[in-house]
Amino acid sequence: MLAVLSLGLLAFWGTGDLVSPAPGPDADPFAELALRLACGMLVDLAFVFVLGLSAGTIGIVVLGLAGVLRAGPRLVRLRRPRFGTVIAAAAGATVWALLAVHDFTEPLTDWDARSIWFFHARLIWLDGGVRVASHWTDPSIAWSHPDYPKLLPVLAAQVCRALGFWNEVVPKGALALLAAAPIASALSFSRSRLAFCVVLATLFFTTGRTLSNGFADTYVGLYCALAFAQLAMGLEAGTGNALSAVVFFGVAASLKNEGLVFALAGGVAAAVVALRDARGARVLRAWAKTPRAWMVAAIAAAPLAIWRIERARWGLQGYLNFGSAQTLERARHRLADGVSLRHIFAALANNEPALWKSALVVALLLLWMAVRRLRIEPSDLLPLLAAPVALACITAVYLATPFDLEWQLRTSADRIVITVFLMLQVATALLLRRMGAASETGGAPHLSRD
Amino acid sequence: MPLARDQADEMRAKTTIDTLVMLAAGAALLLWAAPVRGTIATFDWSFRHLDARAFRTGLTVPGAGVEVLPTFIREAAALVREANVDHYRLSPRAAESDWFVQQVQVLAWPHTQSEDPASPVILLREPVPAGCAVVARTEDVVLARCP
Repeated sequence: MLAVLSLGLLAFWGTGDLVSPAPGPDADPFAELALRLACGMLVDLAFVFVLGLSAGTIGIVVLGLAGVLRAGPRLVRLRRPRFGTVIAAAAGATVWALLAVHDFTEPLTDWDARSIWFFHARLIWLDGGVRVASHWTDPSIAWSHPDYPKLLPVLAAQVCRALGFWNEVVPKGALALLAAAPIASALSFSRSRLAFCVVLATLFFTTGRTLSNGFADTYVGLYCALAFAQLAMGLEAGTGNALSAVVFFGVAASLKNEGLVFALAGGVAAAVVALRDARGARVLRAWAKTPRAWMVAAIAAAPLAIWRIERARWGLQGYLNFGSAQTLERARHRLADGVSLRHIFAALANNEPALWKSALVVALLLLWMAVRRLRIEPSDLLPLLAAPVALACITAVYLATPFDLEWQLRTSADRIVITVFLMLQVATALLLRRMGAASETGGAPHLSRD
Repeated sequence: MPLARDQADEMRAKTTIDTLVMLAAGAALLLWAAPVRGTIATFDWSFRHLDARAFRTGLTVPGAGVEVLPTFIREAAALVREANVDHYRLSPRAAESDWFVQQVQVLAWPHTQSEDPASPVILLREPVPAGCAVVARTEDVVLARCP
């Protein structure tokens, strides 16, 4: 299993390196690593959609190894990493190993894991790809949401194909593959010790067993929250971090439909920041002139586009038919009944880890920074700007759901809200990072990359 | 020395603010403590109760891990697979539980559930109706063809 996971990550990195822009001299090594892993994963998904499971898997391995060979001379020339970088990398590897081993300590037991993600994985494994339309449109599996995105199922099917068998444990190797890029991305905070500790503790150790039980929600949360962090760092420093944000949003959207909603929230927040901050606008403009950046953005969107086209071709529809008169009428009715909205907010707020606690921490930090007259950059507020947009979108989805609202809230609110919770944790880490930099430079807000 | 006094006042104010922030940070850590403690407890429980042999089996043996499902679900799926029928249906009693319907479907795939009355029927802890021929059976589950 370790060999399969290692080969998978190497193939993702090599493929990602082939398509990503060359890192600049002041590039953040961890953001670059995360960008390559996530990019490789999305190319892999597109390969499986187009070529099938076996050919797609072989394709990604060949391409990945070619990328590794091409990058070899550049890697040899790299200067020796700083001690802090080595320590951060060791911490990241430890978190990954802990999560990976934990994944395999129990078989698939929870409903979402068994009935959606890993059932789809089994279909893909048996069919040799996502191409037998009659299977996905079979009315007897409509309860399994066959229209859902396919990144997690495809990765699980690939792990089983590489090992040569299926059981109820090994497909969870997909979770270990998915965890690598967010962990690498979180290491970007390693220059600020306090922010780094907060990120590692609150992103990977506050959500119980949801990173290991086969649910996709916490991974969507991790990818989105860290996309906001990278976007904030990238808009400020003008480095490739922002590009990894785009790819992370692509991964989130290929994991679950909610990922697209959070990506939308990210786009709105980035636009607001770029309007307020000349540096952010300059970064976005420079970016738009880089062909490789466009290629990466296309890779982020490609798997989702392919799957949407296949879905439309097969007539596979989601249960939420946004825009239909019926859905709008249902949402309008719930909005007007005076009860539904209150129930939705209560369900979203009354979970552990609770949103209000994180919001309180962020508010205290902001208050302190205001009192100490520490300058807050607009990009630091990105996750805070996006959180209400994301909450509004989630609320809209609940208002429009065709299912019984109470049942839907009971069975999903605690998982859906994880992304907003993780966004607030990232906001905390960004503010702590700013405070750390300000204290180092005697109050000036500059964040050094040296 | 008004300037020195102003500076001293400012220093005192900053110290007060810092103390308040430290207290607030402590409170915040307590707020986060519960979920962090809960998650670490989950890891701790998993690793403490880790059976090395089961762990190895899970990583190497085809079909391992299915024992997390109740016996009658595994038996129903096994009967369908062994009988090698393309489609099967569930008796109204068997179809009462969504978990049973769905997990039999998951395990028995690509043998699919159907409404077609000609498909063999899975009966769960119930008598075989008159006129039905038993295809295969276990203690709890029967696969039968009914006219």
